[in-house]
Amino acid sequence: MKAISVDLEKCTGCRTCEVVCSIEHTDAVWPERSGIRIMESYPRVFTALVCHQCVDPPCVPACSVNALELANGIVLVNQDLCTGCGECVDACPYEAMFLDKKSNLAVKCDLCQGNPTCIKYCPDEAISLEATASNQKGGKG
Amino acid sequence: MKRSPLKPRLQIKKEGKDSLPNGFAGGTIDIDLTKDKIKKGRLNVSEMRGLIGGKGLGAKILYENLKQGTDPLSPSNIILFLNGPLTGTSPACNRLIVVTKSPLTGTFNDTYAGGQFGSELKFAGYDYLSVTGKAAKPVYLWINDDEIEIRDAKHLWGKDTHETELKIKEDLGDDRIRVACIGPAGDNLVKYAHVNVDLYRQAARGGAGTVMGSKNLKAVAVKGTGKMELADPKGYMDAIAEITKIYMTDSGAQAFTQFATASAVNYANLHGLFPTNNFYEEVFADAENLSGEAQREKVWTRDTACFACPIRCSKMAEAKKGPYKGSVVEGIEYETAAMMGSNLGIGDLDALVYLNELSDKLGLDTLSTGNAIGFAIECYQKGIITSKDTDGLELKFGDPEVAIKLTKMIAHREGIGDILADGVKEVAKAWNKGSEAFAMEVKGLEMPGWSPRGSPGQSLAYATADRGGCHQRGWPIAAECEGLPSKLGEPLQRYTIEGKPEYVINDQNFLSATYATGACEFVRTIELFSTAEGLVRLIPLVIGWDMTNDEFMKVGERIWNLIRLFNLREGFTRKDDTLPKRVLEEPIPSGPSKGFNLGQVQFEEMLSNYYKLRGWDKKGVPTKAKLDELGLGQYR
Repeated sequence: MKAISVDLEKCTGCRTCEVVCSIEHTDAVWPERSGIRIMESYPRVFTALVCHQCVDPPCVPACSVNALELANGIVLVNQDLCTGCGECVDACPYEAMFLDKKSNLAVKCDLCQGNPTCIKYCPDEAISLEATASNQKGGKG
Repeated sequence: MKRSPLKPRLQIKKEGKDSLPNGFAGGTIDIDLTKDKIKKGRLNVSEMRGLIGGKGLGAKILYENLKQGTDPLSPSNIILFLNGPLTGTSPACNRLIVVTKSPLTGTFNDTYAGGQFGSELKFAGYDYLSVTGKAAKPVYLWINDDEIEIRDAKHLWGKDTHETELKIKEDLGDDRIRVACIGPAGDNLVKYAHVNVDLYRQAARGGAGTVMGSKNLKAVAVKGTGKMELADPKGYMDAIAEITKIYMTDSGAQAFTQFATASAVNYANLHGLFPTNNFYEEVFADAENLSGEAQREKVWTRDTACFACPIRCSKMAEAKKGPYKGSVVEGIEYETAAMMGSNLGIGDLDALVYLNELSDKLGLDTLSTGNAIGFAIECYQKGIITSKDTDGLELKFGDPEVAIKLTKMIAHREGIGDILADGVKEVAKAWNKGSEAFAMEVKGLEMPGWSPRGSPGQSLAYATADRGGCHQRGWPIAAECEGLPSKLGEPLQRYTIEGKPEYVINDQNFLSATYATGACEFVRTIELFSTAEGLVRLIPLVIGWDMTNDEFMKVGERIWNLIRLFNLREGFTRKDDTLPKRVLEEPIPSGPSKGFNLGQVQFEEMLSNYYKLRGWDKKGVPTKAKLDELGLGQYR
């Protein structure tokens, strides 16, 4: 299992990834529904928040309504069950689970069925799929 | 004819279950700060096609709602924060458009910023925010999706633009809030105070920040968690994939990404268009020091970008040595390198990083500030003012410390800064002694960093621009200098007036429509977007309008004429479509254009041709026939 990884040396903070991720999943430009977020700290320093696809994801047991399903190694949010309580957001050690408060819905990266959209559209070519400690066999969240 | 690779698919999506239009947000905000009233409304999207939005919508609102003769610094002035229907999409469609009546010129003023704010306003659900009146005490606006508040800003007044934005984000507890604010210059009603956006972008020209200051409006903060609907999401994704591929192989666009606007420094200097020492010279010995190549090597630390833009022309710069070590700015844009660099005889890159950072934080338009300082220095050298007027400060070109001191004095309206803060036109009137001849302004807006003296086309563009001396409405320079086929007819000759009106008119119409969509003008560094074709491909996919190139250009012409009516109503006439004596009558002393000056006669002939081609009478007034043709008959 691999996860989305952003090369911060290359990232220019344009947030095109947020635009295309949200269009891919909702047909609308909707950064609040993007599975990847580019954060900026002063002065103009970028970090990327995106699911690490943990092999032992702490978000799943945190959900009291079983809205998070682990399918083929990817945690998916069941939109019909999610109540927007935010427990999974608190449980994620990578701040990579997001909450759309207006819709009461948890939002996360789902790797686009194996063909990530953000990788295709990033003008910096800064995004790739990488194996990390958290998503390899024996790794923890 | 180049075959376009894009095949737009017109699968027009039905409006979503939230009844959001496509492209547009559909919502509006009207705030009266005197009455402390907030009103939300709906935009009638079905009526927007003729003006598109953005600049066009701003022109309509201001024309219809602002009484003739309104004092721009009175509570009655209106300031609009708009986006365009394309704002929020790639490529480079991310503009915030600020529209108001300028306290510097008295004309219509539209000023633009990239960054994130315009898109965030869209996601919050609004196509524009309109503010009138004046708050009793300093306030800032907090637009949090559908909740809007007027909040106390007493603790922010007097703070610089960075302190202000960071404090607001801290107070509201969210780093992803977007902020547009003013610095001390705006608080102190310096006439060319800018609106600072997302820390590092500026809606800089014409004193939009001054209008905010006059309303006790320190900032606008916005958070948008909603969506922007697309007419054809699949078609749009295909188009963006295609456009990004085109961009990657477009050498012009790639060069622009590499060296950004700074790439123009060597170009301007080579062609004798680089304003030096208050536009006295057209070439600068130290131009090389300010070039894109020099900046990349010596001060640039990172490339950054505005929302959803693949061009990524922003650069973070840091002074790494010397007395200004540690200074950080997003820059140095061409205009600042020209107006605070060569125009002041300054070739010290590190000093310019500091000067740029200082101006951005104080909230000053670097173009007008550099222009005003250059004017003051020349007046001092000519003995029109003396050290008595400058509190002992000796004004000279080539001295960063002089520029720094004057910049601070202007922002705080101290000493001679208090006079310079009103703009060169007013200062020249006050100091007299023939200084009007070299007060480098048109209609009161200080000229930017492309010197028009060696360019008849650019002279015409400055004289006829809607907001005063501005290069972002018409820019025939490259076509003129390189004898490019103008796409309209014969290749242009550099020093003649032939073909210049046609070129400038086409640019003005094209850019007006572009600015109505919410696209950044630099989208046209990608060749596909250098004519209407590029945006006309995106419009059906985002907004759902099946628009032709001709219709797009007509929108631009319509907007231009509407703004002309606004300026005419405010009392501007043909005699204001002019240039200072230095441009029209002083022969250029050196460089590639040595000895050239356009002359009043040639200029007037060119201007008359321009009016005729525009369908205006000899006084520069749109004829009834033209207004009816454009559907503007009701505004006569």
